[in-house]
Amino acid sequence: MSIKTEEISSLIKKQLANYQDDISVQETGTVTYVGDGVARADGLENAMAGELLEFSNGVFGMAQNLESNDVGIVILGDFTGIREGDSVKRTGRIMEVPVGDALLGRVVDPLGRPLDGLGEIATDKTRPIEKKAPGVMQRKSVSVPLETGIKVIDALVPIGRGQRELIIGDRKTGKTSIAIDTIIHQKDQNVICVYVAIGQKESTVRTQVETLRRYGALDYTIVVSASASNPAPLLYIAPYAGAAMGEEFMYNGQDVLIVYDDLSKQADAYRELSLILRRPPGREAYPGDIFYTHSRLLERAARLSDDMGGGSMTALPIIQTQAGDVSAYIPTNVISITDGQIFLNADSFYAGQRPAIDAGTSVSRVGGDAQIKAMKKVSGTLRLDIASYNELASFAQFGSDLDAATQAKLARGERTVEVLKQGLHAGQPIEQQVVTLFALGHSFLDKVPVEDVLRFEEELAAFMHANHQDLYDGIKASGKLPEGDALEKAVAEFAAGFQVTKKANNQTEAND
Amino acid sequence: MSLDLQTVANRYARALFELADQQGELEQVHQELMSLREIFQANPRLATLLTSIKLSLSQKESLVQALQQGASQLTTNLIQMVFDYGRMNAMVAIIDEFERRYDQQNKRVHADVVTAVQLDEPRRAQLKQNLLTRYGAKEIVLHETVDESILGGVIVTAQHKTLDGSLKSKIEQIRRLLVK
Repeated sequence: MSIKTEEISSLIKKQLANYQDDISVQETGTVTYVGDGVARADGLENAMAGELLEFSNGVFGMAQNLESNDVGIVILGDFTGIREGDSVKRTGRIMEVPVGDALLGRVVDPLGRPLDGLGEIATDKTRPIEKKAPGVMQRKSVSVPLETGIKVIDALVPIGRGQRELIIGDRKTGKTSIAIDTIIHQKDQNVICVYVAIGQKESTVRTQVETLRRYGALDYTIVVSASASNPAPLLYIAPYAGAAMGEEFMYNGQDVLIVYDDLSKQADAYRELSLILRRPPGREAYPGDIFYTHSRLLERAARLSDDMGGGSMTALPIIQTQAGDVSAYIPTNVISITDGQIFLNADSFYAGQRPAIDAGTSVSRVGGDAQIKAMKKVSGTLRLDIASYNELASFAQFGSDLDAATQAKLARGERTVEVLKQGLHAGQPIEQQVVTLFALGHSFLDKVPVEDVLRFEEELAAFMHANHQDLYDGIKASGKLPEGDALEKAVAEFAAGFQVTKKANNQTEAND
Repeated sequence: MSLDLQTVANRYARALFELADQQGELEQVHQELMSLREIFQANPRLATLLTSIKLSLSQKESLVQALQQGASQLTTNLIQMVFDYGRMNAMVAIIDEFERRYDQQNKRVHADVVTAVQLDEPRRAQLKQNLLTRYGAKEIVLHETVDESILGGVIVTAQHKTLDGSLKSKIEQIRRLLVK
């Protein structure tokens, strides 16, 4: 291929025609202090709060403290190249990130720059990262369920689209797994997901991304990552950046699920930032506006009214507690902001109860309205059953003779707890959950040994798929249990043919 | 927490400025302070010496007296007071702040000018005239530096605003336009 000189020169001519000879006018300041990711600058008298500033070596900063003599700037990037006396100029823009469809399936940093090596993000749309949440008249109440695929959540603490449900627990109790499983379950549910990883190890983020990719969930997911090696300002703005990316879809009428993993690290980053900026410390050395940083973020999750397009953004913030202490400052703050919490218990996690959700303290304040009728019917007494079982179980440990009613209650409780166990990345469609809980509620499980409960559940699902798909479809379409006793008959038919393994084991032992 | 330099300088400078303005001695005090600042800038260790404990009080006093020689009453008082309160290290900042207030009252603008070649008289006058109208000032004080790396044109920094009309940045702009 030969180079066509004429073509190129005409192209250059065209571009040069657009060139305007202007004297650039810029407001500048001088750096008087730099350290710990924060700079102070003289001048910049007209700088706005939150404005993006550019240092002479190309690193960006955000104006945070506007004081009488100088401006406090947090540096969004490497601060080692900035020296005292460097100039810093205004850009006139408030912090913003690229948004739009081009971000789906990508891993980006809080400034929207790609981290996955898949090339530039082709979008010209941007949104400011700080935006006021939708007002009273722009919202409507939560009415559509957001299915997580996790039985115990969908049955006991149902989440609605537009809700904010906190996931709280000690380290290593499966908080992230619940969030990731929920994202994976949104496949074909027409929900855009945003996963914001704050202050996590790069290797952990990589693992999560690979998990999402493996289950085909990355196609509808944006991963925003500010890892532990990033400076505190990036960790601080990461959730706002993620919210801005989600809002773009919400205001276009789509449903969005956003996971902030986790907000305790964001609070720590903000504390670091504030202390270096010399803002006065408050309780646990967090700055005075730490509540506002979380409340204004979570307020942005909403179910929009029909006039606004009817989109929604469901937020699943994650908070890590220390030794189960939910009365620390940040956990109490976020609990009070959100519409309920899923409490993960370290003890039951190690006892093999996974997901280790504490049925007693986990609540959902608005999700009940969004739960489908069938689920409401079969899960109605579940919480009470578990509570009375826990009470009885600790009593029954003393091993005294129990009457038949108590034994029946214990047996039912044991099977309830067993049936709510679920493997990792094994989300179940809502109709399957309904049938399982139906079998539990109608005493089909009472005669099945505890070890066989999960196998019973599995085989029941396969049986229903093969022989009674119409019942599944009916539940899914109408959201109600089938009329008459069709479902009861189907489950009874399966239960009659169910082979218990324990007997077989006993027989082999006897043969030995 | 101790006060920072800027706050200290603001207070002294404001008091001096208002007093001098009342007594109609603004011009003279300004002149004297300018030469005082030159002394401090020519001897960078002077301010630290005057606040340090390395010299005895009498030695320091004799230095201060030398500074006060020939100054008007107001300036003498300022030097004495700043010395007595151990704020000699803020002296330059006080003078800077005083000058800022003086400039503001007289609509005087300081401009740092970077050019590729030394400005000649007609160009300097033209530049001054341009800046006068742009800033609505009565007087422009130019601080010139020559930097060959900007190739041509001029960069003016005044009142925290940078007017970049250098050839170098224009070429850079064209480059970006073409590369994009």
